[in-house]
Amino acid sequence: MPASSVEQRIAEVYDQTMRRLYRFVSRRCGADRALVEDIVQEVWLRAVAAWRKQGVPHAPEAWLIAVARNLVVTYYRRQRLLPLDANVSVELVLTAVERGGTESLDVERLIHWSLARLPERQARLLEAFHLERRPVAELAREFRLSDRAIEGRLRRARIDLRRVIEKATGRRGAHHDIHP
Amino acid sequence: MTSIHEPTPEFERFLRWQVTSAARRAERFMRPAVPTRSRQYLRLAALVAVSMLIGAFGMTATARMQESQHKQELLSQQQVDLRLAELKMQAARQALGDTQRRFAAGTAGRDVLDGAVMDERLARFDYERAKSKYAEVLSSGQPPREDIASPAVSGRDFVGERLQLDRQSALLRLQAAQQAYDAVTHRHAVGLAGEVALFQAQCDVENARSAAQSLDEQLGLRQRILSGAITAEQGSREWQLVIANRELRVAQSRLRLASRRLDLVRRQSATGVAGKTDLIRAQLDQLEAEQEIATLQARITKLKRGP
Repeated sequence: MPASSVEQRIAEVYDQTMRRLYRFVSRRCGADRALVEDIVQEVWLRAVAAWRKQGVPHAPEAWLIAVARNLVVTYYRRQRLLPLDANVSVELVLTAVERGGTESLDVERLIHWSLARLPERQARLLEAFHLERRPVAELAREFRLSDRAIEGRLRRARIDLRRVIEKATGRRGAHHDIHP
Repeated sequence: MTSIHEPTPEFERFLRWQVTSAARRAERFMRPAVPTRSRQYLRLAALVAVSMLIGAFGMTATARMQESQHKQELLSQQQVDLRLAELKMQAARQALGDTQRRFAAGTAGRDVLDGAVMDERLARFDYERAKSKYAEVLSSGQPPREDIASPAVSGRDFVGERLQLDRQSALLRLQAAQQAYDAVTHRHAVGLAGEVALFQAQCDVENARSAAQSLDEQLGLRQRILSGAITAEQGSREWQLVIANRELRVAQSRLRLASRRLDLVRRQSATGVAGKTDLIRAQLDQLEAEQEIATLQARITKLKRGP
């Protein structure tokens, strides 16, 4: 029996986006394979349930990423921070944010654990600017703000992120701001 | 070998099977049964209707549970903000009470009392703002929105309410800046405050007035968007223009202050009171302000030109 158009389209989207979605989640979950697989599976089951009723959206990958991001945040908000290695300092974490990522899975988890504790828009802004390397002008359009307002909000968001990290780790860092 | 951020081939295959079979099952069960006899058709139709009702109820219940969970998370966040704002307001009230007693006893001046009154009123506005955000989440189930083109929620204009509160705060700050300017003018007249301090106070008044004016403009814009006089897109663009113009006025005021300071430092430098570093710092301040104005002017021109 030939596949229906929705079924076929869902299979196409799956083939085109699955690996990118997996990488997106994995980078936020410190490559914890069991957790990443749970989240990716949940995203896809939600997608099938929604798309069969409303049809496949115009930007299916953006839809999948948005749902994945929410699930990751929900997961981290319910989690306590795992004990950290003694050499993980506040500065090390902030430098990792500044550089848009790190090789250390512990630090990666701590970054996303901390981002999940910021207000949604602040976390989204930091993630878009530092981790996704998107320019201020593009963010200004997305957030419907001026470039200067975005810069100001980024500055405040970095201060709040530092506070969350300091509180979580019980360690204080030297005072320095993260620069793009 | 699979990289740590790549799915294993087994998982990829398994999930593909799960996704496609879920989509296929959904398609199949959505198709109506073909009747062979009328009684059989009726029985089947009733069965399908009952199943659909149960299914629909189950789906709606699940969706509602998810929505409700999301809403609860948002409400908890807003509750924390609201509680903080309430505590700050209580602290400001307490401080005002103390200051009133000290003023009555003659150990605090009028300016200290005025400051405490202003802090208490600002804290009250912040509390009202937090309340408005909480009410918005309660009505919409979504995070509170701050952009000028957001629609009203259940007939209530939360964005407009918060702009009104911001405007009242801005007017209070203007009043405080005006009082500070009067005090500095007096001190300057008797030789206790310098020219730059006076000019700084004047700039503070200008900036506070500019902030209040900008909020008036934003409120007008909000009304035009809600009444449908302009589209949300036009409104957003005009809003950016209002914000950019406000930033330009602040930058112009900063430039005037920087120029005054540079003049003073030049005079002091000639008499040996100020050093070379002070002069360079003052020149840099002026250059920065000029650069900021140029950037803002370019942005305003671009915004006026449209997309």
